[in-house]
Formats: sequence, structure tokens, C-alpha cells
Amino acid sequence: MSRLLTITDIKVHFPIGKVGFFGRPAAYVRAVDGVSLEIQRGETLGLVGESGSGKTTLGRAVLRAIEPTGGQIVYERNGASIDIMALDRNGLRAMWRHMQMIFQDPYSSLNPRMTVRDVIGEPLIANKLAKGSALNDRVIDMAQRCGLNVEHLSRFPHAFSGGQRQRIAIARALILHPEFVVCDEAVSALDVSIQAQILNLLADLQVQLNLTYLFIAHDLAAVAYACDRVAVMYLGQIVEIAPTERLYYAPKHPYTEALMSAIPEADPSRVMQPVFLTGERPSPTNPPDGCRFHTRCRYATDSCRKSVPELREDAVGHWVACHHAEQLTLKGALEHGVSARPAHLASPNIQAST
Amino acid sequence: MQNDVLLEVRDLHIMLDFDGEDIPVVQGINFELSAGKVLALVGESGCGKSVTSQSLLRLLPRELRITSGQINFRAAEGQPPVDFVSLAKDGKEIRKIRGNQIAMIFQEPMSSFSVLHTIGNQIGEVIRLHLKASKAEARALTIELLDKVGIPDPARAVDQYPYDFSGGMRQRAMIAKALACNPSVLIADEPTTALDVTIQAQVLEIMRGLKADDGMSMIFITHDLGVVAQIADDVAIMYMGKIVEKGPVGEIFGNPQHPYTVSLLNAIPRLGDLTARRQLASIRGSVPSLFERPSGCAFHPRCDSFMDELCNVQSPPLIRLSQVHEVRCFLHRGAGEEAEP
Repeated sequence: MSRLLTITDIKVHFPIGKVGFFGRPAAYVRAVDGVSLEIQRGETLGLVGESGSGKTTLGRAVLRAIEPTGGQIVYERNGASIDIMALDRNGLRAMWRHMQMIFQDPYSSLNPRMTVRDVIGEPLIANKLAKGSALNDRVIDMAQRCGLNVEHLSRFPHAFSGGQRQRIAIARALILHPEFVVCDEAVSALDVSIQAQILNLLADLQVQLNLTYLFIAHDLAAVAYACDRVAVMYLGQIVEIAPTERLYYAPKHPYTEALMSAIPEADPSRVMQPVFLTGERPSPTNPPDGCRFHTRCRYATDSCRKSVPELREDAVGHWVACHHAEQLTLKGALEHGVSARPAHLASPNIQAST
Repeated sequence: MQNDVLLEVRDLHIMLDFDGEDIPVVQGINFELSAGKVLALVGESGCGKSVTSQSLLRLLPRELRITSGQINFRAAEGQPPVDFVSLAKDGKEIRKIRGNQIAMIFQEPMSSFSVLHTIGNQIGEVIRLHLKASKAEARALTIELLDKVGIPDPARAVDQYPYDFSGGMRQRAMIAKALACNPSVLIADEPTTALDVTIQAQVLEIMRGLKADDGMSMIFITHDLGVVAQIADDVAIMYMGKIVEKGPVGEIFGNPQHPYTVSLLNAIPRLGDLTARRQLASIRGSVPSLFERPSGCAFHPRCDSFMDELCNVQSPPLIRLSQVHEVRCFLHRGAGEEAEP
């Protein structure tokens, strides 16, 4: 696998409040605060974290849909390294042909006054890439790949269910044959049966069209299915990145452990025993010193309060930002539940843990 | 009505008035809630689970109305049950029950709080109105309730405003408000859906505590089967306004019998087999609109076990597979007693 995107120390700080007439900002919300990532061609990288962790902002900053405050984004294309941050408006627009986005809400992301044919074909027209019958052929091809019929194309978006609208949104995002797609909570608003359809569709299209995904979601089970690697964000920073199985089954960061323990398992014979985080999430305007998670971490020591842990490679491909990663033995997903069978049927070690 | 049953729904029908045309939304559902139990109503959007939950307290919006059926509630053991359907929609009797004996919580906590008043005043108001307590008593009880739902520093939180609270804290405050009058039944409509996973776990823990420590009975409306497995005693799976399968949680997850239940359980991503990931079993098509209800069994266009000339013609009967497990599907004809047509 070759590298597609290299993100170095990217920051997005939003100014809030104003001091004085000309308005020096009173403070900054550090939504993304120094994130470095590499995304490999053809992979699906998951990005998880709770609301306010900065995952959506990071997804947009990577495309410069939100202008980063600092940092570097380098995109590898046809053997050349393109510095995304150095592009002017036209250069960036040209790059957006290769970098697209799919949003959560298929009800608000489609223009209600355009037919499905126009919605899907618009990017081709706007980029002057096709017209007439060539345009029509490409729209039909992409619509069919996304599971839509030709007769759907002359209807308007309101005539469709949430799942089909998401198919339309995906067809529109992929019509320019991008290489990199940011899926921002793309399946979160969908019903269970439809979520499975769309997850399967995204996986099929990835193979057919050679796509690389940045898959942002809060549903940890869906992320586990969709992603090759997963990054965990907390207060604007990445605390852990690892291949999916490693991250879920053998997490190294206490925050990841807490997330994994809180996934409700669809198995009534096992009672979940989540690790409860103490206190409230600190404000991203004024994050804690040292390790940002120390205020809620049950393993925190003095060094966590004082020095900032670097994101470092703990095992092959497993990155973690925790001073104590080597000493801690953390539990993964599925290790937190206890059997709900009556005590006389439970095995001795299960009894011991209740 | 059996003695340990608090709330019983019998053959409930709800219609949507669409420009004078009656569109069925809920079509003859039956369930009962026993003391100290959690019943989950599960289904995808449009299945009628939320409408059902709103109808229980006669809170349906104007365009929806109960056309037939009973909602029987027994306030205390030994008392005769009251049929809510027979009460006036906004009458004195039902208002006495709402919030008092049956409380409700919603997905979006901001909808149950005013931004202009402190959390303490809003919960205190409920207590003073319903329990005729003094201001000081109400305040003390509010602090106690906030503490019970795990809000840190409740003596300070009582004077804060809803916007000072995070989403998870608001959800907890809403639960505290619902508990203010010590109701015997709590109706929770997607109470954890908008929450982060760690906060969801905390809220589920609080609700489990209510059940275990206070013997609270709950009707839990959700689409999340993981949450169902973790909180429910009994589960009713709904599809297009009907309960297609009902039984104890262990039966529904371990021995599902309706093709829809089976497909739903197969469609959820599970953490047990990450190496075998990437293809989930999905259900083809989508839930039809209320205006295009399929004939016969409403699930037949999406069902892999579809039997032509039967499923698309006749409505399947409810079949009692055991004392506690019911399924509405022709596949199980002969496997149990047919309870109703």
C-alpha cells in the first residue's frame, strides 16, 4: 500500500468572543489541536470519539472545507506530492475532484428542487467534464452502481426514503471518480436494516472504484465493520491509532478502554460492565495541562498531570499517547461483560469477577 | 387483567387523519407491562413504536387518534383498572396520572426544559404541584433526585440552567424530573439515542438501578438492539404498526422466529467476529410508506421466506409458540395455538 495523505500537526482553532472594538478574540476553541496522520491508498481509516472531540472538524480540515489554522497536508498523486495547504482557490477546487465528502443527513444535503439526475450529474457539469449523452451515461452508470434504477432519476429527492437518499448522495460524491472520500457519519441516521445496506455498498464501491475512506462515526460497532484502522480522538487530539482488531480487542489507551467497555452488546446473556469516566469532559477552549485525559483517567499519576504524552508507536502499527501504555493491561471490547446466567451455572472465574 | 400487570394494551388501533382519509398507523397491538419489568418496543422508523408510546398517556398530536382498543392501568394493587381510552384526552383524570403515576422521558432533553428557569425550579415546580410540598421541601427533594441520577455536586447544579449542562447531564436531569413524583411506570422514548456511548452506558446504568432498587416498571422505545439486550426483560418487535414477535429478551435474541426479527439481528454489526467483517446481512428494500402498505403481511415484499398466494393475500395470525413467545407469521402455523386472526 502506498501513502495517499500525510497530515502533519494540523490545527483548527475557532476564535470566540471579542476584546475591544477591532476584536482580538478573547479565546480560541481548539477543535483540532495538533493531529498527525497518514492515510494509505485503498484503506478505510476510522475516526471515532465523542461529540466535541473534533472528529468532524478534522474530517473537513483535511479537505480544507474548513481552513486549518496551521499544519501540513500532503496528497500523493501520480508520483507527485501536492501541498494542499499551499493551493490557491482554483488549485483547491481542482483537487476537490479527487477528494469528496458524504454527510450524515441525506434530508438536508440534497437540493429538493433538482431531479435525482441533476443532483448526481451536477458535479460533472460544474467541472465541465461531460455533457449530453456522455453525461447521461455516466449518471446512469453511477446511479446503478449505487443501487438506484434508471426510473428513479427523473424523480425529486423528497420521493425517496432515507436509505435511498443516501445512495443518491453517494452517487453524487462519486460521480467525479474521486480517490479519497470523507464519510462523515454517513450511516448514523439510518435504520438498522438500511445501515447494513449502505455499509455493504460503501465496501463494494471501495473495491470497484479503488477508493480510500476516512470514515467518521460515533457508532463503534459500525466502525469496526467498515474500517481497516481506527483512530480515537479526545479533545482535539488523537490518543490512539491501531489496526481495527488491535484497537478493539487490545486497546492501549485508557480512554479507548472506556469507549470499548460502553458498547452495548446485542447479547442479553452478557451484562455490560462499563468503565465509567469520572467528571465531565473539559472544555476544548481551555484543555487540561499534561495529558488531556488525566482529569477523567482512573490510572492517572503525577507525570500525567505534568507532561504531555507523545503519540508513539507501541507495537507495529499501534500508536498510543499514554505515559503508562507499557505498564497497563487494559480490557478490550467484549471483555467487560459478565455472564448473566444464574450463579450456580456460571463458571468460577466469571463468578469471581461479579 | 392479571394482578401483577400495571399497564395493559388491548387491540389498540391508531389512525392518521390525512386530509379526511384514515391511514392506519397502529393496527391492533397487545402487550402488558408487569410490575418491576422493562418492556422494549423495538422497530425501525415508521413502525409505530413512538406513536404507541405517546398514545399511552393520550399525548397524540391532533392528526393521530385512537380508533379502538383499551389502555388499562392499575394505579395500585387491588384497585380496579382505569381505561385511558375512555377518559377525555385533556381531562382531569388523565392529567392526574401523567407525570404522577406514569412519567415519560424523551430523546431530546431540551424539549422538556425551559431555558429561562433553573433546573431546580423546574423540577421543584413538578414536586410542588403534584405533591403539594413547600418550596424548601421541593428544593431538598430536587437535590436528592439530582444526586440519585448521578449529577455531580447536586447542591450547586440545582441553581444552574439547562444550557450549563452537557447533553448527558440534561438527560439525567430529565430522568430526575420524571422521577419527581415517584411514578410506578416510566415511558422512555429513545432516551439514549442522542448520547455518546460512554454517557449512554451511564444512563442505562441509572435506569437499571431504578428497576433493581425501586422496582420501577418501564416501557423502553428504541431501535438499538444492543441497548435492548442490556435493559429489557421482554421485547416486542414492531413492523408497520403491528407487533410481529414478542417474548422474553432471551427468547427474542436466542431463538428469534419471525423472519424480520431474524434479519434485524443479522443486520447489526457485532464485535465478536471482526475478522469476518465487511459484509453484513441486510434486508432488501426499505420500510414502505404508510400510504403504500403491502397487502397481507406487510413484511412480505422484503421477506426471504415469502410464500406466494398466502403472505401477500392474507394477514398472518398471531401464533402462540409458548406461554410467553408469540409470533405473527404463516411459517409457524401449526407450531402453536392461533390466538387471533
